[in-house]
Amino acid sequence: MSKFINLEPRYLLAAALLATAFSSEAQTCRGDSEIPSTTPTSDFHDHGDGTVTHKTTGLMWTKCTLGQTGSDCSGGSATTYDWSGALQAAKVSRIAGYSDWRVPNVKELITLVEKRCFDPAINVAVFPGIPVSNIWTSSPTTDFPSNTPTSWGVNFAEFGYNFTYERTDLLSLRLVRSGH
Amino acid sequence: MMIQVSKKPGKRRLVSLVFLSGFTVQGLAAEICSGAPGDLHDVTYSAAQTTCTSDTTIEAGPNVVVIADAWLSLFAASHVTLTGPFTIEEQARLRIAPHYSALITMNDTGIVACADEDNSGLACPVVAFPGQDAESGRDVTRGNDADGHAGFSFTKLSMAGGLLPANATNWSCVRDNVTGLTWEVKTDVAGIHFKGNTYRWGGETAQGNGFGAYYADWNSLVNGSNAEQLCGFSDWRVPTVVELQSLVSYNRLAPDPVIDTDYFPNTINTHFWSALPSAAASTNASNVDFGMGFVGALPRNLTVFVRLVRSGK
Repeated sequence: MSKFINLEPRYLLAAALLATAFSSEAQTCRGDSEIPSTTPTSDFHDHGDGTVTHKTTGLMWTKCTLGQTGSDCSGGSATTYDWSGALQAAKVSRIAGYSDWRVPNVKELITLVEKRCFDPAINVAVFPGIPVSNIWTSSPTTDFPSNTPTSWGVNFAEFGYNFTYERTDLLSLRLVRSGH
Repeated sequence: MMIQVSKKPGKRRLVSLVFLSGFTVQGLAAEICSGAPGDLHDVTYSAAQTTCTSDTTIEAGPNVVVIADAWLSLFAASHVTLTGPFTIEEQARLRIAPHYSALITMNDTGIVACADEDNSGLACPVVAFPGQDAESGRDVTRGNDADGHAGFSFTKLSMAGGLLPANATNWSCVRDNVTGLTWEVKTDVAGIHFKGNTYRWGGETAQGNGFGAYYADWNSLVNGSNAEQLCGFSDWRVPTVVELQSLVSYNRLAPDPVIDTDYFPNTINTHFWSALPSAAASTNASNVDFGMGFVGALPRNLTVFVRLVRSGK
């Protein structure tokens, strides 16, 4: 006997409702005519298993930042890592059964920035985890030897700019896979 | 994308689902498996994770077994056909989802060295710092400097649009063979492409409207490039943030600009405008800094640099 259950729309609806509720508290978004959306919801496919594919780049992302759980990421709370801890957490992650998660590089992570929104600068209908924090990339900065060693992170919490963070700083983590 | 499950030959049920688990599909019509990596029939999947991807269709079955705790993922652009008997044991997972071919191909970052807590420029891998930028992507798989640093692949174009060899000394544009974008090259002689020309934000091809004031300073560059058919093209525009950042080579050390200067000479190591406003303030617009590689925003009335881009064949 075969049984088929269509789970996805239900999750999406719940996520959309929650995202709307949260975004009305803090996030500011300009109208689509004022600033064209850089990450419209239609550009993403939510697999319903904690992963989201960005159809533009073909990259698969974790829907929640690490530590958040549930279809709307409202469970748990975002874990923070120093840069070494972030890289190691990606290596051992088995989210949705995949074993090839990695920390995104600085160009990959910037593709998730929603330029018409800030506080946070992300499409919260697709990535509903609130609060959105600043997030690590896998890219170390090339810096003067005399400077404090830093790596790149993206401040989704505010405007979605990339900044250099000391490698001992504690930031959140969203993982990526190539393909799909 | 649709998933077709055949119960009888010629009869298909169309459903849409994310994954199936913990049950057995039995008694389905026999169909030959094709269109996927390997032959997805008469096989038992016991590995922790197997992923099959197709730009068209996947036909799986008959006589497939996914044993307990194993995962089988089928990603197809068009549809997946399951033909029984097709058994997914308890605690096993069959995951079926659309496969999307990327609409854009991204450049890598240009970073080819690893780091630890205190040092940069190290050989990879580094214990306790696994999976860094320099360990994956085009900089590793296509790390050929003959056509641009590491994973970058550039081709020089003449003013008329002809392809030039990498050692050409006179070129007007660069085609990025990874992203498909063609870029204006700055010059050190007077004219619209002069390296020192700066502009307030706004004008032809600036995006959005009704949110803040737009200047028109860069119209001379956009319209002038179109009029002269720069490199054979007349659809020049100011780039998006992601497009502009695609040129950044994050391996460069100040005061060098963060770009491959073998292909993009005369690049001033500071801010270049994108075509996008800034959500935070109607008086700002988005930019990329070619001094360090920062993506940010600046007041629109600040005069900074512009490098034009065009897309398409």
